[in-house]
Amino acid sequence: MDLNLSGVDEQKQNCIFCSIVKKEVPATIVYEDEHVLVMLDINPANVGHCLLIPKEHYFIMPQLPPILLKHMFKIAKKISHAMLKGLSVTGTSIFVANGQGAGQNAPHFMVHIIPRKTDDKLLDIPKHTVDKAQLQSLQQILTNNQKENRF
Amino acid sequence: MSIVNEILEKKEDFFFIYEDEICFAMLHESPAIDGHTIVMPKKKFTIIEEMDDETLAHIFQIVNKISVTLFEKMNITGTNIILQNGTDAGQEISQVTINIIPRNNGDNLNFIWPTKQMSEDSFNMTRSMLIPFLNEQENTTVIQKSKKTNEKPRVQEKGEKEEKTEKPEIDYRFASLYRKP
Repeated sequence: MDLNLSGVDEQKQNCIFCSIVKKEVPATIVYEDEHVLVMLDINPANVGHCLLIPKEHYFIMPQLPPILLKHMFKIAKKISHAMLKGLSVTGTSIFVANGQGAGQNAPHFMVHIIPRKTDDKLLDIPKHTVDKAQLQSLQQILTNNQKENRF
Repeated sequence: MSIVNEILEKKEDFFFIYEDEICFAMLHESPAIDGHTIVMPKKKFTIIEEMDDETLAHIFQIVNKISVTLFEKMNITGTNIILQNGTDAGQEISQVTINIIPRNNGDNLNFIWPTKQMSEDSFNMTRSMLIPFLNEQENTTVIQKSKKTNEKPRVQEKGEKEEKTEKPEIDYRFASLYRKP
């Protein structure tokens, strides 16, 4: 996969989230450590909607060093736990949009952690009926040369 | 029998694309779109708060790898990763399940949410409600720790039994997250 890392410096300079990390732009920060920062989303889906970002600028998930990726999702769990306890919600959603096709707007990788309530109708995943032959051929495509695929 | 054991016993009825000792990935049988994959831990975890950090970190690393594979093999321009944690979040089976959904411009999928407006005061108040629980002692298994008084330690052996035996140990705050049979 071509990660196209060119233009990263330019991206960084114009990145609002990098400015938040540098404290040049204010945000309601709820958690911070050496590697990540968590803030409240200014346009939340629900009250308490948090954005978890790496302090270093990365565009999409595959660019993250594995150790940082692992750390981020541990923190995501921590945030989810704090929401269940502190905000008295009964569920949380963890959401990532990787790439423009997935609806990613900002050029800085982030994990959304969204407090959920009964019938808030967020993030409904549609279901479609497909036949087994279709699934089978996809399975073949995806498992072919798996070793080369870093599995 | 737990859902995971049922799946693992009849593997050939499902469309596995990855498996290791800790987790597995298979194509969703009623996908949002072609290539919609779900990843589940093999051990029984209903919500991520029950999961130890190592398992969680491993699973998301696999999720990332699968996402990369989808990029490479399916000519897509994005992936969405969605974890619905709790029935009110849309969780349908009582096992942690991570969705990886291949995306393309104009694919008719839409995970955009309507946004709310909040005052600075309410942001600050929300923040103050979260902070006390973020500084809790380094975790890993928060729920299990909080139930130390319960004599029955949570031993999770390979042939782990049904969730029934686990239920009394579940933190009351999370009780509503469990799917009713």
